Amino acid sequence: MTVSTRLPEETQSRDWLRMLIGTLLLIGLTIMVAEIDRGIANFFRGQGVAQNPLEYPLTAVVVGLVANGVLRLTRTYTYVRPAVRTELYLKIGLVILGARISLGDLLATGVGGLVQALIMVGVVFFFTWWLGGRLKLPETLRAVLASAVSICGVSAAIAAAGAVQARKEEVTYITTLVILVALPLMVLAPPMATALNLPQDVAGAWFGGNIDTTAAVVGAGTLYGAQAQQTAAVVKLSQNVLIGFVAFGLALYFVTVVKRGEGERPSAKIIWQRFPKFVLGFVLVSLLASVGAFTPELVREMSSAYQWIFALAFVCIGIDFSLHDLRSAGWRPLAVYLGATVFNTLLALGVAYVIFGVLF
Amino acid sequence: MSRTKFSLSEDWLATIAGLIIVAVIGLGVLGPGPQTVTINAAAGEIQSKLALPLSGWTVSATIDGQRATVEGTLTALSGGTNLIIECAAGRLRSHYAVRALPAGVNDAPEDRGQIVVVNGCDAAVSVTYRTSGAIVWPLFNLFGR
Repeated sequence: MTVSTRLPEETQSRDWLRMLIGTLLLIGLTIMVAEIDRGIANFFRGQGVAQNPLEYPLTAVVVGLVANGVLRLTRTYTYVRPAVRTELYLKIGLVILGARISLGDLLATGVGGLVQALIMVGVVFFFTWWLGGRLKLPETLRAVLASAVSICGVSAAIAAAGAVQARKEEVTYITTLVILVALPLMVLAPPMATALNLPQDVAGAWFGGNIDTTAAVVGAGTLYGAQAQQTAAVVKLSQNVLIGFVAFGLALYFVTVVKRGEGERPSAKIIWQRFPKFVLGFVLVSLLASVGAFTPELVREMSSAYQWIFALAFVCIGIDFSLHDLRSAGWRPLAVYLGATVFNTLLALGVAYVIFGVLF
Repeated sequence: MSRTKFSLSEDWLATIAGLIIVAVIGLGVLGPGPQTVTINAAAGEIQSKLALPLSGWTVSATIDGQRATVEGTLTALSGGTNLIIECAAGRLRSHYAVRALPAGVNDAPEDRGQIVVVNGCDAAVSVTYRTSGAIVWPLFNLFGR
């Protein structure tokens, strides 16, 4: 047995060096993700699809996975490990994401979009939560899954994961499912709407209510027609605005109910200790956006900022990825996601028809 | 020698970092942030607006609601300069004012540039000057969809 002794200063300086090397590598990989993402977006634009339906988190995870393999093969993984701070990056991105969640947008989207969003998010969230419970999924995974299906895919999954302190593997699993399921829906929903002879508004509201990623919603709307695209975007926007309420509610629920110890009374002190504080930053920025503190140009800049940080976080998820952890999740989350998507699709069709075809 | 170590939880660290980024972009700590200046001039009208002295403006224009190009587009505005965009015979041309300004238009102050639209056409003209933020987000226009 060998015993190595190292001076504390030497260890500290090595940690800093590793932090520096890791940070530089992560920045380089994130720029690579953005370049690849731009190439993919250009490809889709060439096919007449205005927004890239293969959203950047998927690209980032794949780039991270490749880096993971190379680092392990070359036995250099430990050099970059100190800079891989996935949760920290996700939380920073979520605080900035608040700038995009303005309550003013919710009121501006019109009564029809608001009513549909409230019904869809409420019903689909609790259905997915219930289904996840029936199949005995962990509470954190149920929360991420229910938010992803009921609200708006990737952003909602990330926000919910932060609020309930879900595992990285759970976020990866769900965001990958969101993107992979949204893609065929984007292509299939417009011809289905044509076959059902849906008016533009009803079809748009259906796409907005049932497809999980914003890019795929806009893509489906574009394929169906200009009016459908506009309505789809409005309905999706209304749902997106609800992210803040859901994240805050989940954070509170997990602190007071799920993570409460046996026989423990949730005192104000304990709630405060366990509450994910960054949610307050997210709410503060969202309130600033709601009172019009940011111009649309500034919101665009902040959107770019959080996309960069989320891309960095997803590269880290790829680098940190463990096949064993993902396998342990099994088939149940997939079954819940697909079951909830079918329910979401049918419910959205009915609600869109009643609200946009009959009431408004 | 013992050292007092100050550490922040990850939640607070993330909150502070996020709010700093929002402040840097939102308050324009490192610059004025993105700018948009739109000048609308009805047929035969002269309109002007002041803008920050910046370079790298992008220019878009319409004549009677139809997109139009500005010939010899000038994208840099320095303090005290007047940039004239003239519409004549259905075409837009831009140049810096070297002689007297049109009647009713004052000279630009030292800390601002001025964009003057002289509409000699028989349709409404709209000219928009835009800049992105001081920190170019996204870098190299990545994630630009």
